[in-house]
Amino acid sequence: MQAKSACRTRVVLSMLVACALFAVGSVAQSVENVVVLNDMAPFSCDPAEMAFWTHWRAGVQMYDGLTYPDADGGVRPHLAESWAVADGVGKVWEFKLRQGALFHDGTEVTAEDVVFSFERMMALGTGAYSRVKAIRAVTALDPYTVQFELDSPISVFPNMIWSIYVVNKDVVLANLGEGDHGDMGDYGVEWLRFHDAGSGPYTLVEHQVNLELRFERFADYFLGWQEIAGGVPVETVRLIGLWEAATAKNLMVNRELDMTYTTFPRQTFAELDAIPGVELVSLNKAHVYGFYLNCQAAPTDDVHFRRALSYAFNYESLLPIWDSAPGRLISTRSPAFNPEAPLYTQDLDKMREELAQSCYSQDTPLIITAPIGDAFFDKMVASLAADLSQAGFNIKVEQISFGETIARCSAAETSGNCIPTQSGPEYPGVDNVLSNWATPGGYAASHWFDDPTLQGMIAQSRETLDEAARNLLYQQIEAYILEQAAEIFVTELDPFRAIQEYLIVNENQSSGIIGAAVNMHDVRIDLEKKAEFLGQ
Amino acid sequence: MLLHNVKFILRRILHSIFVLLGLSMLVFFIARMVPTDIARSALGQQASEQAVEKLRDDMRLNDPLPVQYFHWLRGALRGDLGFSVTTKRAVIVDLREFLPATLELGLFSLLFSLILGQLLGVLAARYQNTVIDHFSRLVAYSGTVTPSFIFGIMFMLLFSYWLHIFPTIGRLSPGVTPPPTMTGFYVIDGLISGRLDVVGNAIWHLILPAFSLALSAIAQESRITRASVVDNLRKSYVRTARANGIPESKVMFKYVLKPSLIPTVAVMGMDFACVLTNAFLVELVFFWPGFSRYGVTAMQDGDVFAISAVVLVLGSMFILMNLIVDIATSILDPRITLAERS
Repeated sequence: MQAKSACRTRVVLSMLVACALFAVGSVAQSVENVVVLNDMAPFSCDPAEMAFWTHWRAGVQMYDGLTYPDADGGVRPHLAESWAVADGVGKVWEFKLRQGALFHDGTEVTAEDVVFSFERMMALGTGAYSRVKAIRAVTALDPYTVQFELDSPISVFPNMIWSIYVVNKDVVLANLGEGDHGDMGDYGVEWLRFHDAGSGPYTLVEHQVNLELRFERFADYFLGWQEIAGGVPVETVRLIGLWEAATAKNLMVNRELDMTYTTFPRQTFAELDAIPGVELVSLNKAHVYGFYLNCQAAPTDDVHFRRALSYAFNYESLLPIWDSAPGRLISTRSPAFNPEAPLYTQDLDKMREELAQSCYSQDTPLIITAPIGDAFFDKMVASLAADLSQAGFNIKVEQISFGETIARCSAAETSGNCIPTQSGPEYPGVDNVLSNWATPGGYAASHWFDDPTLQGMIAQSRETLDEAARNLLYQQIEAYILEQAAEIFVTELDPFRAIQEYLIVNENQSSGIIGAAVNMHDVRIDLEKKAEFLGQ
Repeated sequence: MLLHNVKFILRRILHSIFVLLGLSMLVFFIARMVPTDIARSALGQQASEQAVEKLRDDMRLNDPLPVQYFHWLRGALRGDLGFSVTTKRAVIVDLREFLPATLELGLFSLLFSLILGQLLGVLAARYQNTVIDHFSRLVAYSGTVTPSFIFGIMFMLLFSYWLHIFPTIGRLSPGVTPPPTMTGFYVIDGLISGRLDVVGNAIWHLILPAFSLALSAIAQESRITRASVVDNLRKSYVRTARANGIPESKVMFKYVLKPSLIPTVAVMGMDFACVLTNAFLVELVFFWPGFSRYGVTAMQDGDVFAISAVVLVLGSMFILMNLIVDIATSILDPRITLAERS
């Protein structure tokens, strides 16, 4: 009896302790002006190391560039209030800086900071280096004027440099580490990975590696903070490095996550859309999916064989699944869009005609490289494999890791014949897409189409300052690439985000260029609605 | 006997060093034989060839593999496990930050399996062929066949999504600042610094992921305990104890449970090591900032130094747990010497 009583006492005491711990430990959700978004957490906050879209999405909160993508497919003034070609050709550009734009430490952004930032990028050679490698020299003509001298004319130079972020020179110089750059040491890379020296709408307050970035609003941001549709600016932004769809869904329901990232499967977005109080927002951005056809490996080194493949693919099969538009080189949203572009359709008669002219037979082995881990690529590869098999081609699908794909695509002989690709615009304009054609080779240009005619056309478009004339050239380039069948264009997709309905996204925001699409300066929060959603 | 055991332990430590050496060689070479351009993947497609080549030089990727291994081993012996190309920090710094989170999760998981596994096993043995026994069997089968992360998602759905009892992700709730780091274990550091709010919050966050991980261990240990208890219940000394009027609870927990624990302890050690290796999916689901999640990221990014370190640490855990289990078993049953146990 005594033993039973003692046992019962122990159980009751344990439960009381557990309840006390819960009472102390559990934290009720409060209506705070905090927005949580999930994404792959970037590991470096240094603009010179921002090489992937996850970096730019964080970078756009902390930093500014001279220009900024607008909703019409071009760029608008940002830290620079104007710019002009100084030599009439496009090799020398002058940018006039806006006065009064402040860094997070309260000092003004000047031409010296811009010069330092670009020279830093050029010296380090990392991140988006390819966008600055054509710069021969950058000079501060006066405190608010910067001159760029390029190796060759680039008509879209202002578009290219929108995300070459400007860092606070004094702050970086005060935090140099050991490195190989003489007096500049490591150019502050070690410090900037975990701190910010920017002028952007938000300032980095915490960087938990592999976990979370936390930003606080920079009240003195040069663009100001207007109310939008009754919503107020977001005070704190947490970017958490979570990419599990099931977990993200639970968090959205509990209102612990306010905005998702874009590369969940479509099925996940359909489920998120079904959650009361959650809506899908299109990023108004054209992601083009397709297959590069390796023009330096048999049998796809033969233009007739490539055309035969292009006629064998069923272009309609995937569009209803994704509710998307047919793929093309020039997006439907581009000012250069050509509705008359001679796109391929599935036509087995034409396929046979082309094969008859090819030096290869259908039995020639064809390798489709399939990087593992992308839901879109999986469907594309399955669709292409099925269509080509049915049409009588001898195909082999090689599923490999993304890292191995990059390694294999370093040489034409090992790239495979059909390599799925997706181009999300990193800067506004068709030139961004054409940059993958200007320098063949590597995963980003695994078509290996080293064609002097095409290089000449691309170079000419870069030298053409007049936009209308340039757009015409782009259309000719598109027609040429289609004629050469160096890519099977599958679809043009609009990525989504799922957001809580108490968030208000500025409809006048950018065209959804990578990074700009989640600029929290364009987002406001309706706290009353949030309170309602949290039942408070 | 004590001297004999000490000698045995020293011999085991020496053997372990060779095992770890072999393991490090294996994982080092395998990680580097995967056809991937490590430096290019780390810096991105737009980086200059000079920058990529410099990184290759810094990581010694152009050296022959044995030379690379020699340099890595030399560094590892000095506590330098290399540089992570994804976190952009020394791997040893990453280990110090992420390992305690996984160990804390593993220890809580072990605690759950210890308490619930034994309890379920003892009850199943005490009430053989009743509803309790059948329930225990059901738990055991489910726990054995179902992967931990499935339980994780189910518990998250039930307790976070529908019932809103437990938090969904993380080690602490937003707004709860972590305690000063002493061990890296939030519960212990919270106790040391007198932050009861942190202790409670950390335990609240630990429950779902730890329980998800513990279930397969609970399943296994409950069946082993049940079998062992049933066997010991039939022994004559138990009949004698009952005949002498000793209360049943005392008979069960003092006379039966202790000898019944011997086979369970052996399994428990390996279960802990298995928990650490199986934690990666649970850590992904619960967004737990642990070592296993770090390992997954390292593998996705081809971060060869981080991969080597993760495998080495996990291998060390297995070896250490093996040794601890041997020592614990010899303590529980003094008849068994360490040499016999091994």
